[in-house]
Amino acid sequence: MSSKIKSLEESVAARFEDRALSHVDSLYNRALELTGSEQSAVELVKETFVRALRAFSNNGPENPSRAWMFSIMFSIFAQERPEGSQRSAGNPAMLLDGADGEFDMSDVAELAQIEVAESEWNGRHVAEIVNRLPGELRDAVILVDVDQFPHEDAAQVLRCSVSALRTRLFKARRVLFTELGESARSVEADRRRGAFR
Amino acid sequence: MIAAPPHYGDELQDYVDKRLNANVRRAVEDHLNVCAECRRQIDALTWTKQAIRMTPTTRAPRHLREEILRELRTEKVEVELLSKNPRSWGSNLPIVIAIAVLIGLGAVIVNEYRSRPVTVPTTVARDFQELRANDLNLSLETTNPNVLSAYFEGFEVPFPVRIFDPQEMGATLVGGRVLDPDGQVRMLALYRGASGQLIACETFNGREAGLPAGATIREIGGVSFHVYREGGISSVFWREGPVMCSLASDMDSEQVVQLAASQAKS
Repeated sequence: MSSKIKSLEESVAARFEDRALSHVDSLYNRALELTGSEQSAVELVKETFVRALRAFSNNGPENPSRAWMFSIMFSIFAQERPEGSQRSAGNPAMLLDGADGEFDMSDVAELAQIEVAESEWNGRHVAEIVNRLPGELRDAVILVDVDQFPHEDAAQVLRCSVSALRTRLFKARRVLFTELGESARSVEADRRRGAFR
Repeated sequence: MIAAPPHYGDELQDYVDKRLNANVRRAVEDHLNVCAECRRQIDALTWTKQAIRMTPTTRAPRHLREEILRELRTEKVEVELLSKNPRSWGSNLPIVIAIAVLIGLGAVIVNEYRSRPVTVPTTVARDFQELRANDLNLSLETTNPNVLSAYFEGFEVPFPVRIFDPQEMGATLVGGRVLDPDGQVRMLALYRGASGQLIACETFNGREAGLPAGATIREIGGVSFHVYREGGISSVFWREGPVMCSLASDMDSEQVVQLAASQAKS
């Protein structure tokens, strides 16, 4: 009997390892953003895997999907913010900036001229600005636009309705359009000034 | 025929996120061909999404995978130790027996419950409760009846698509989804009233004979409305040709009847 149990446990654990380990990189990236430190991120990801294995072997889902693993990690972070975590609180004023209205589109044509992939304006500038978003807007936009979760999965991770997720996403994008646009134009202007010297 | 909206709203974000079905996407694209303002919105959303994707990502440190595997295997050993300890079963025998009895009783109750046929008003009330509790998601969120109508038509539902006029109901359309739990297709549209109350409208192939006994019957304008109330939810059913229509809400029954009467075709 005990050898049967052992063999069953081993097969469950092997199945879990096989499928869940493919999510390590994306979990680590998000843990890094959540905790603000490499050491805290490592601890958070390890704890996520341990809790996920327990849940998986105890009538958990058939497949430890990325969204399911993210849900566990966000839940651990919300309840037990790991020691040393220093997540940026963001700038609450951005929440108000993005509260109502439409996109300010006076510069769309100008921005379209800046080829984001080829500009000196780069991911480091983008990350700095995204990190200034208040947490709930940042989570929504990172999960959908960076981690590329479907809206339903992102809503599951954030434990909110799809409708709430979409509202946060729209607010975040509207604020980011203005902030990222200013940043991109400024870097591009510096580059052009440099070219004429 | 309701006129197309002057500009699209939520659909533009869904367009950029590739969440629209073919019919709605075509409708939005037709509109974009003639509307510079919506086109600029799309450009702004697309530029922003493209820029956000530049956020740098990194690989997890090599040692992390090894540490995770070590943690997982320690966790596994602990599980094995528990299962190997014969005393843990003996000392917990009364608890094990009690759990077994409870599981047995639970199974009897569940079987009893399952053997009862689920009536249409119960299904409609349950859908409303799940929507209210956010346990049932809408597959399309839109305030535009034309968009929802095009979405339903894309499913080729086996009855005419009809979206009730939100303005006539004094409400705003929230969105909808197609339900097909056991081959019985139902179209569900959700509205929000001026005071924030939710109203779910379902249409499906059916007849009054399929409704259970116990309804209060109201005759208004030559239409028979079957009114049920269960679990604090009022549901009103009426027939339009081959289609049964229903409205469900946690509002007062009379308010739901009046809303139904405002939409029913005699």
